[in-house]
Amino acid sequence: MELIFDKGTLLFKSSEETKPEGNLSAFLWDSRVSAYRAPAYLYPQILHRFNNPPILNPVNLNQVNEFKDQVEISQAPPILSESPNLRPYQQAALASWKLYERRGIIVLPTGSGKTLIAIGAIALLRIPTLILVPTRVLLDQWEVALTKYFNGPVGILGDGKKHLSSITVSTFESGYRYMSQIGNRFNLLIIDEIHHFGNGIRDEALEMCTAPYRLGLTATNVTNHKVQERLRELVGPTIYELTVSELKDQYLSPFNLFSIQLHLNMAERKSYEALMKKFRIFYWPFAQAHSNFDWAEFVRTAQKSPQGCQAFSAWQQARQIINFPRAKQEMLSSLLQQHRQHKLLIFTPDTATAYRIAKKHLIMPITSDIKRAEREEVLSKFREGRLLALVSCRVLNEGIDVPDAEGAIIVGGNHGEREHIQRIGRCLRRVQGKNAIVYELVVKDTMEVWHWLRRSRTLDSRVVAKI
Amino acid sequence: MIPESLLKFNCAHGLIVPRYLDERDYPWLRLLIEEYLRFIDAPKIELIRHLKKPLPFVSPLTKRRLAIQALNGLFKAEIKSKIQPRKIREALFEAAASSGDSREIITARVAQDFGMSEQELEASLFCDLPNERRLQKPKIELNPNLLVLRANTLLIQSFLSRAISVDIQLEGNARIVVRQAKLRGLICELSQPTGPGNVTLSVSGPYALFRHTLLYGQALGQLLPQLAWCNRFQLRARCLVDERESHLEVSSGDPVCPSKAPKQFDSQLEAKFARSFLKTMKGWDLIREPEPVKADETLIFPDFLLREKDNPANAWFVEIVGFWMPEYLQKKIAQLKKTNLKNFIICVNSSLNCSETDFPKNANIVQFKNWIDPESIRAIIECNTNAS
Repeated sequence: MELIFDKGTLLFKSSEETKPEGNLSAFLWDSRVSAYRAPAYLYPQILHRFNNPPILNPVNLNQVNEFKDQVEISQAPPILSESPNLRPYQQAALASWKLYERRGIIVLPTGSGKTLIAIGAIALLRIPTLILVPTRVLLDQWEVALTKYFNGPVGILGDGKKHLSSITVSTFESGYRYMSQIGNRFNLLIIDEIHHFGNGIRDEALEMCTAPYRLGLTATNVTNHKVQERLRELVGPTIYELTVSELKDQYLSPFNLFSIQLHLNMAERKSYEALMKKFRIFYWPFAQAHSNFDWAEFVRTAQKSPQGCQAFSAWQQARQIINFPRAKQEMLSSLLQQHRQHKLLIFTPDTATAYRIAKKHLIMPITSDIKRAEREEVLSKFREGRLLALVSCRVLNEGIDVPDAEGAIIVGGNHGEREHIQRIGRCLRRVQGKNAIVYELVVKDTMEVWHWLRRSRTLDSRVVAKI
Repeated sequence: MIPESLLKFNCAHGLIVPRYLDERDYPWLRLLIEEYLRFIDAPKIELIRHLKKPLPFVSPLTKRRLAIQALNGLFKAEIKSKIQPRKIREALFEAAASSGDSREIITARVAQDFGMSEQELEASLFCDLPNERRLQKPKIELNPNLLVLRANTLLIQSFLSRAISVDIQLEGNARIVVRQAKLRGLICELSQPTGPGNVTLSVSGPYALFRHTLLYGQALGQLLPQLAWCNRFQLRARCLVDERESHLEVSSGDPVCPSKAPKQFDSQLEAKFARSFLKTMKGWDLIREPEPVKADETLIFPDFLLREKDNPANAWFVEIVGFWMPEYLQKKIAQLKKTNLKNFIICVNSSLNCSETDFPKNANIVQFKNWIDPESIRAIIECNTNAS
C-alpha cells in the first residue's frame, strides 16, 4: 500500500481493493487509475489516520507496516540567520497560531507587521515553506524581507521566474497554475491577503497543496459565512484579530480622517438622476423579489436580459459621473496645493481617473499597466522624496510598503470596507513624529454616501470631520 | 473564457445545442469588421469607447459581444513614440515634484529636453500602456466567415471550460490531443476502441471525482483547436451550465477553428534522428507517429515506426525517452513492460543514469547522449533478425 501525490491529489494505491475508511471517507475510487483518490489538502488528516490504526477494513498490523507514505518530496530546511524581533501583539498572534495546531488566520491592520509574524512562523518551524502573494510587486517585497532573516536564495514563482527553494514566494496566479506539480514540496503554506480565497476563484491553489501547517494573513476579516467556512476548511479559523484602534498611536501612526462632502453641479445631477431612474426600474423589482441577494447575483441576472443590461449600463454610467465630478476635481486641486510638501497617496475609483489625475497634476500613476521595473523605481523615488505623490486605483491597496506616506486622498472607491481599511493603512506605518491625514471625497445625495457610511463603520475610533 | 451570460444555447433532453453564429450573421459581422478597421492606427481605448456606444447597425447583443471578443484576439496593438514613454514619465513627474512651476512650464521644458513638441510629449506620455497602444491591421484577411469560425470556437471552448469530463473518438493525429491533454495535467484513458485507426479517449482532470474545477475545465477547452487536426473526431462533454449537468456534442464539421499546425517533430533530437536514419538505412521507411499500441488499459504512442520497404512485416516501433523526471521514466518502463512487444526499441538518454536492469529483460535499448545513432538501431534489428 502506498500513498502518493498525483496532480494536486493523493492516490492511495493498494494491491487489493481495500477502501480506506473512517475519516478517510474523502477517498473516492478512481476507476481511471484504479486507485483511491482524495484532495491533497486533506493530507494531514489522512496521515493522522494512517499513523493511528485501525484504518482499513479489514486491517491487520502487517498491512499497516507495509504502508508507504510517498507523498512529500523532502527539501532542506530553511536556515535562520537572524531571529525576528516581534512586538508583544505579534508574539501573541504567533502563540495563538501555535495553540490552534499551526493552522489559522491572523487579522491585523495594514502596517502592523504581518510579514514579520509570517517570518516568525517560518523561524519557529524551520520547514520548507511556500508563501502565496496576490501581486508581482509583493514577490520582491517578500523576497527582500525573507533574505534579511534566512540564509540561501529565496525561491520565486511568478513574474517570469520559476525557481524553487526551501522558502519560495509565489504569486496567486503561479500557485494556481503550478500547485498540481509542486504541492507536495512544502510543509508550511502562508497566504498573504487570504481574503482573496474561499469564494471559489483559485481555491485550487490551496486544495492541491499537502502542507499540514497553514497561516493566512489579512487586514480585514471575511464576513461572508460561506467564505468563512471554506477558509476554515482550507486554512483554519480566525485565531487572532486586532483593529486599527487597538494599535493606533502605540504601534501605528496616529491619523485624522476628514470626510469632505461635495455636490454635483446641475448638469451632472440631472444626468445622474436620469441614469439612476433607468437603473431602479430594473433593480427595485429584483430587490423586492429577492430578499437575500448579493450584488454579484444581481449583475448575473441583469446580464441575462436586454432590460437588465440597460439598467446595469445606466448604473455604470451613473458611477462614472460620481467617480470624478467637477467638485472632486476642484477639491483635489485645492488639497494638492495645500499639501505640496507632503508625501501623498491618491486613491481613485478606477484606472481612467488615475490617468486623468496623473496627466492634469503631473503625478506618477501606479497601475497594473505600469510594469514591475518601473513600479519599483517609482516606489524607490517616492521613498527618497524625488516623487512627492503617487496616484493609484487598486495596485497600492494591498501590501505594497510605502512607509513614508504622510497622507492620503481617497477620491473614490468601489470595493467597500476592506479597500477602505487597506488604503488608510498605507499611511499608518509607524514613523516617529508622523501624524497622518486622510481625506475622503464623497458626493452628497448619491450612492457614494451609502458606501461611505458602510465603510466608515469599520474604523471605530476614527476622527471624522465633515467639511 | 466568456461569461455565462454570453453562453446562448438550447437545451433538449439534457443536450446543449449552442446557438452558433452562421451565414445569417454575415451582414452585421461585415459591418463590425469595418468598424474595427476604421480604428487602425488609433489608440485601442478609442475603439473600446466606440464599441460601448450604440453601433450604426442592428445586431444580436450576445452574438455581437462574442464576435467582439473574437475580433479583439485578432487585432494587435503597437507602441508608437520617438522616445520611450517610460523615460518621458520619469523626467516629467520628477520635474513636477521638484519644481514649483506651473504644469505648462514644466511640460514645455521637458518637451524641449526631448526635442519634441508639447503635443507630442502629451501623446507619448502613456502610449505604451495596453489601451493606449495603436491598433494594427491584422496580417490575415478578415472576413465574416473567419470571424464566425473564431467566435464559435470561443463559444464551444467556454462550454468545455465548464466540463467535468469529455469523451473523444478520434481518427488520426490522436497523439497531438493526448500530448496536449497530458501537458495540461489531464488524465487520459482508453475507452472502447471503435475500429482500426480509431482511438476513443476519456479525458478529465484529477479533481473530476470531487467537483468541477475551472483549472481543468479550461484545460479541456484548450484541447478543442487540436481536434481540428484529426481526420475525424466526435466529442461528448459532461458540462455544468446554469448549475445543471448537461451534455455537449461536437464533431468534425462543426465550426471549430484549428490551432497552429502541429510541428512535425516534438524535438530537434527526433528531427535529427529521422534525417540520419533515412540517410543511413536506404531500404527503410520511417513513419512518424504510427498508430498507438495498447498497453493494458492505456495507450503508448511510439515516436516512429521503421518498416523495411521490401519486407513490410519487418517493422519496428521506436520510442524515445527523453524526459528527465525519474518518476516519468519508471512509469514509462512499466508501461512498456505491459506491451510485451518484441519489435519495440527504446532509446534512452544515458544521462538519465538508468541501469539496464530497470528495463524489461527482452527490451531492445539504445542509449544515447546527444543524438541517436541509426547504426545502433540497425544493430538491434539485425541481431534480432539473425536470432529468429
